[in-house]
Amino acid sequence: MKKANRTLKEKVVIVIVWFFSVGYAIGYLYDLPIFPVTSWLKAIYEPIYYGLFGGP
Amino acid sequence: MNTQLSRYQFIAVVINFLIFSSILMAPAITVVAAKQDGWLSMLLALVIGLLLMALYLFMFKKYNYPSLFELMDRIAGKWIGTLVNLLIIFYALHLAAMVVRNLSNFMVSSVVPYSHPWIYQVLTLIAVAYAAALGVKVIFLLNEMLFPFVVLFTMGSLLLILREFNFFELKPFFHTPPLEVFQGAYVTLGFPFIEILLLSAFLQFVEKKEKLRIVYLSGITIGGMTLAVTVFLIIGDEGAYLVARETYPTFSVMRDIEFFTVFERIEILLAVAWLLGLFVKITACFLVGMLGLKHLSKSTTYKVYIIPIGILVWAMSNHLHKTVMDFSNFVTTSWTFYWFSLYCLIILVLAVGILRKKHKMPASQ
Repeated sequence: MKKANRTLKEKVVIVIVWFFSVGYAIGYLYDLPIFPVTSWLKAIYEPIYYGLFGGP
Repeated sequence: MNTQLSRYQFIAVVINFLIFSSILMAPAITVVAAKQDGWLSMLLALVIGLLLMALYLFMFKKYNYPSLFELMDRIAGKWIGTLVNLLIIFYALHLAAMVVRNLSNFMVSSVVPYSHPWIYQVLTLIAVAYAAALGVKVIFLLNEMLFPFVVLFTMGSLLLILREFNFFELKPFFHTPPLEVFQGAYVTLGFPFIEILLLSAFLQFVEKKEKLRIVYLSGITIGGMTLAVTVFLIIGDEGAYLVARETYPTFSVMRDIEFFTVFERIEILLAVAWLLGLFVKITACFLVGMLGLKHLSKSTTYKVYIIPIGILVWAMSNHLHKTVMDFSNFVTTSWTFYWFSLYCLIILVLAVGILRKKHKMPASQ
């Protein structure tokens, strides 16, 4: 679809995607804890793993 | 380009997706827990993976293989459907970032030491973005062309390992406690046997939908058996003690093979096959993310998302895990449950749809 024919929803999604991507990249380059998904996932799933198989 | 895929193209991508993410690391991952019975862990993971995917495909077939994202909206409604779709997109991009990181880790640690990982990440993502921009069919066509060579390199590499194979290294058989065998299977279950559900996003493009479940499950079986045979041969070649202490034991074993003076340092054959396979896997995950974003924004094209998502995947590949140890630890402890959560969520949504007879409604409703 050409730029002139984009709906508002498309434009909003494109802007959000660009903002999130660039923001995350800046967070990586400046070592900022933006969207620390790994620590969230570890906090949820590691206790389950160690509960099942033992460990720290 | 009209996106119509053949069943052969689809099964080739399934096999590639399965084998080439795990073939270098699977022996170490399984042997750490299951010792010399690591091959048994791989077989167990294959069986469980087949059962999980059989259930998923049985339910997906009820809806006649529509677009995965449209299906989530159809069953769960606009808002919950959007949340589920966002999750699927995130999982796809997370997996793409992890595979990119895996590729750069391998290149830096085993092939070109002291090089910068960004080089491999950026070059790979440029190729992935270009493939994505050309359309869904292109990666399936490319894989169809490369598949025989990849199979030849892999099978050739495994045959060469037979020269140093020793059954003694696998003894005593079935000596490892069942819980440790299951612990070995646990890691490989998520990586790659549950991740493969992402490829169901491409089922809508397969031209002939008869026996598609058999095609999908056959691809998983072939890939899983190849991995199990690889683990078996690697343990028999190096022994469980050494295999557990290496990150890429398959590559290390290949490095030591030498015969007729002409054939030495042939590990590069497996490395080339692995890189091609990883490229296909990263592109497939990237395309799933693109299809999801295209659906979310109700756009006619996903090309506008290629550059920002490429930047995001690159940043994620570095920022998610600072060190290789953190990466390995996360994959070992959390990856399978993380993907099992998505699997359960999608199964729940499909089951709710079947109970509410959504599978009998036309796609427009």
